[in-house]
Amino acid sequence: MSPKALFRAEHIYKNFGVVQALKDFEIEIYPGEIRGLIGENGSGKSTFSAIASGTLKASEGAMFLEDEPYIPHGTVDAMDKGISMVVQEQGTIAGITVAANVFFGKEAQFAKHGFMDIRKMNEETKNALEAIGVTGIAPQTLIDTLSFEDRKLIELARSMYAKPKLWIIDETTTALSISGREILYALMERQKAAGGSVLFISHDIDEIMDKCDSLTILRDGTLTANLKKNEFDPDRIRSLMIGRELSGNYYRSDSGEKGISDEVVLEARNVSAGLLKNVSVQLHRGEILGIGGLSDCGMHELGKVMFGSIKPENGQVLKDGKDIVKDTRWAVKNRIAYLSKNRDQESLMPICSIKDNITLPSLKDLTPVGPVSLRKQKELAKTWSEKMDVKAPSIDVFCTTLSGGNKQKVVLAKWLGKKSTILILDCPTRGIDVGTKANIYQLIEDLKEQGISMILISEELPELIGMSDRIILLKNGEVTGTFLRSEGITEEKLIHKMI
Amino acid sequence: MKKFRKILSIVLCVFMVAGLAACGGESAAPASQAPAQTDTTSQQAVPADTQKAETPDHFVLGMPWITNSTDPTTNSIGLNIKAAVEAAGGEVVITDMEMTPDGQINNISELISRGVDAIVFMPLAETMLPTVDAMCSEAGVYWGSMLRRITDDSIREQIMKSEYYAGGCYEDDELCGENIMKKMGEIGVTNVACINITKGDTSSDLRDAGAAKGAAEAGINIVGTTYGILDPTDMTKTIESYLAAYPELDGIVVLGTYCGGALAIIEKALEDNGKAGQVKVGRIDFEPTMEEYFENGTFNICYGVQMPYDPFMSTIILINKVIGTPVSDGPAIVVTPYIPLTTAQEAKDVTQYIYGDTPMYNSEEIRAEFLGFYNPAVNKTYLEDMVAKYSVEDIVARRSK
Amino acid sequence: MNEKAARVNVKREETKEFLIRNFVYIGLVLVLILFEIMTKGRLLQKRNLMNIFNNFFLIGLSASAFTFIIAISELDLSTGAIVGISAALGALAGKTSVALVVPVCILTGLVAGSLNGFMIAKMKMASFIATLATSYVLKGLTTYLLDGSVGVDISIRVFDQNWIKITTLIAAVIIFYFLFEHCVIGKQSRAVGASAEAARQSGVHVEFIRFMPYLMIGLMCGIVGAFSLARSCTATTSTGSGFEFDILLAVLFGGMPLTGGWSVKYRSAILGSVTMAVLKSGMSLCGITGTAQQIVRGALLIIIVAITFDRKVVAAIK
Repeated sequence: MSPKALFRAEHIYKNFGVVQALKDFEIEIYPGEIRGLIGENGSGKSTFSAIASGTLKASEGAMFLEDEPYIPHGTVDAMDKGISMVVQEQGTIAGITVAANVFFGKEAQFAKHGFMDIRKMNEETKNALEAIGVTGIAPQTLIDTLSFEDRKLIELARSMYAKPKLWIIDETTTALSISGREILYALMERQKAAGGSVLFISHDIDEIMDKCDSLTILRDGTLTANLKKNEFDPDRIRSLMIGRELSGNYYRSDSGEKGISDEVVLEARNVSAGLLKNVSVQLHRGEILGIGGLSDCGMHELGKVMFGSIKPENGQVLKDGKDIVKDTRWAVKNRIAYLSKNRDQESLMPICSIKDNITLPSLKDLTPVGPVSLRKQKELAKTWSEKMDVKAPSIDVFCTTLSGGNKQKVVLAKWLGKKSTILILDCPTRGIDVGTKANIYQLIEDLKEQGISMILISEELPELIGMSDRIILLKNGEVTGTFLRSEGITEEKLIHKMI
Repeated sequence: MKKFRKILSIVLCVFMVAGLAACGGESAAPASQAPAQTDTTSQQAVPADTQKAETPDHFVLGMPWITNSTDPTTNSIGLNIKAAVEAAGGEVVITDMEMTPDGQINNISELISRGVDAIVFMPLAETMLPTVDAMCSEAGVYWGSMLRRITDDSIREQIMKSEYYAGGCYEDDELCGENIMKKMGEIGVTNVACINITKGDTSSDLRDAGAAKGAAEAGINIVGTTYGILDPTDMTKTIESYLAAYPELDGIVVLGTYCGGALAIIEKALEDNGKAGQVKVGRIDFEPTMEEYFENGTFNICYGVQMPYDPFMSTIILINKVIGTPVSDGPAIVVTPYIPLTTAQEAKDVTQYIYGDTPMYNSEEIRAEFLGFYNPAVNKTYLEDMVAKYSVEDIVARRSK
Repeated sequence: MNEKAARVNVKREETKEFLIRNFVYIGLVLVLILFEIMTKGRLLQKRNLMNIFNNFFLIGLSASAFTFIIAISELDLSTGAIVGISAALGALAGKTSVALVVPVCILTGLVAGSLNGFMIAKMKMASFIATLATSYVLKGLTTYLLDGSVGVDISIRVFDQNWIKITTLIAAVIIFYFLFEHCVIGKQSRAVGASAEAARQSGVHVEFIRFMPYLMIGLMCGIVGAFSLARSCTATTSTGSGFEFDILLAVLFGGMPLTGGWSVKYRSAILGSVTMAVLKSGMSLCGITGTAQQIVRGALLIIIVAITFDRKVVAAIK
């Protein structure tokens, strides 16, 4: 294979303060190729994509596009030069319309006598959306009224409209539903057929193996391997990513409900709130209760209601069958813990040390009155961050510097440090790499053995099936089915009740 | 790195505590310190009197004053005080004036620590004077007030007994307020809007009282008074509101303001509303733009030519006390009259000679006419005569030579 | 070769970070040395130390409590007005009995502070707007009540003694230091400032934590009002004017980030107030006039904010 590379990066270094995010990284991408880029969180793949798309500047190194030196000044410039990217987290701008988002930074092309031709911009937006197979989103709607998934589609339309030579997709699929994914995959194929290239970043090995022609693997900011399609092998990829061997199955191995008492520890009784209509759910001591459904079926709201952060319009949430869960403060005090789907906004303070994050709910337990002992704080934080195996230079570093998986471990450490007995986990493995995922599943199993009761809300069916004692499915805010582990649950059975 | 920070913290803490301890220790010390300082100042003064030296001993006079202004009045006051002090062989130290009473107390404290022999200042509130006197007496520093009258009897009584208060001048604000209203009445004004500094300021309150009295006598109706205008936009809006609310308005009197260039703003607002010339304008305190408006006939009367003269005279009283030739036994209070100004030529002279770049009096004149050290005739009555003789023509005659 | 370059790079970064972290300390020491030389040793003379202390005293008192306001990522623009009304009511009460002055000042401060706190914590108004509104209301009330200026009997000056002021300040600094750095309320305040939702979901009583700083600053403003009365024996409409910006400037000089959260350090408040007082005193001792002082202060502020602002917080690593 010796065609000329479309895009080439040489000796890329990037450091954030003292942290080295990329070390001597290089990559060559050929025309008509879908290249996968895989690595654990914090391995530097997002850093690289940000450099290639003009969001960040490399500390050292050079990039070439079609053998010309390529130095992007910001994302719009990169787009003009032929590289556009869809980002991992939300990349749309709130408060403006769909059309304004699609053509953000490029409004000049619609200028007519100094005024914006909004009508023309809306038309173009419609074309751009149809070009990627999306209908039913009006260009003039406010972006805020759309769901997260629709917003992602808007981003796709924006990046494709530029007709990029190299299209970078950074872990976008986690945010998309099955139909959204189909659209994305089709676009990738079209890009390839047109002679362009795709850099597809993901940590879902199955997806990468299915879609990519070749694969680049990163670990700790260094290139570990370049694989061709015929060399793909899940175990090999995993060990190249993580640097150690990992067994294939990381879910619970048992197949029955064990260690569950009849005692109900947390219960939603005829709760209605927003989407939810008359939902009743009971969690028993020692049980892992899975709650599943489509993304907007109301399961995330149910989690919040049971934690007291959303007040039900009707019905009650009871702990131990008698105490009403008034608000989050009461819940935390009574050892109920909640792990939000929006981890960085709700469960964690990113610009804050690991120590202070872990000890926040437990401060009053450490010293009821007067100054909190720094020593006790340190001990608590150290104990639990070690137990959770948080990978960080010290417990004084800010959480922003941690990878997604490590952040999640900090959140868990915080609740276990508080000695919580009921955990409500909303998408605990969202955006987390395989290595940490396995750790978290193992931990959930250990906690169950210690008699801790858990509600596991998840959008991933294998995870629900693999971990839960019992699964409750929601559809449009109503309970549509309950399954027991011992019955032998399959994805087909669940999907049937979900849609 | 952490260690370094810790060490620095400790060093700084030690420094702070040591500093504070030194200060704390000082509070006990003044009792013994103050008389010592008093001795030195009186020693300075005594030989000057007995041995008849050629010049008075060197001294330092401190004043809190506005240092970041381009206002001609402010600058002229500074200039004339400096001329007086330097003629007597002294040196002036200026500190940036704070605009609150306790800020001004800090100013005084700072000047004292800079080792001045005397302080002259414009008190922002008379209630602070006992505090100032206590501080100055403790440190053996003479002080004088300027531009403000002490209205409260008990405060005046207390201050007048002070050994370190030299006295000072004040303008008869009440009379001035009364006069300007009467003058407005003479040129046929019946409905007047007033602008004033702020309630609580001694001058401002007295001018208000005088204006009310004068208006009653001249049969003028004061439709309203607005206080505390500091910026041009507010001034414009205020004038426009008055014009809109009172179509019968035919006079505007600025009794006082800290808004820079107030007159130009008012004239502009009147012109924009087609009222220039119809609405008569009067103002206490001088502004150099007056000349132009007098010429246009859109500005009619000003009181306040003597603004730099009052601080000058206050300083003279203080200097005489410092160099050992006090003008009276106790503090000397002298009233400076407001001099009216009604023509463009007068305004031009005032701008050039009183608010200009040269002091009103030169060194020889100051020594010969104002300092007891050179002229034994100088006493309180003598100075009062000087005040009475003060006029624009006199200064013009002296300086245009 | 690249490895080596990277290592040199890291080393340079470390030095840079060290300088940035300690910029405020280094700055203060530099300012001290510079002015001590320029004033030929007059800056640190006993008498002048007391001036520096007096400049620092009132601002230091309130800046201590202001740290909490910044920590919860809010502002208070009404401090000057609270000082003003406390002094005014204190002075009026002083007409009846001088013994009433201090309690009335403190009580007024507490009431005004809780009013702010109620609006911000309970009614969820933006602090910028709420305190601005309060400041207008209080300033108006002060003008109305005073109708000029009100003097207090000179016996109130017993409070204007160095040992009282020094004791008060040291006590306030120590108490607030402990509250902020070592007590639950300090930690929770910063948590609320960093992310109110995360704090709520960690069991923090967010409303209470938003309320308390305003009560504290109200208390301190009341005390400041009392001391300002003790110093000048007079309450006027200009008492406390501009105080809100003095405090803000002081904490900014200390390198405090207005974004709040865990980057807020208590030392910023104290160091900033001291630096500002030293700067002011040093400049006037050198005979630097008002205009130049303004320029110097503005320029320094830009430099400090530019250097201490933590850009890394913005560029998160993925």
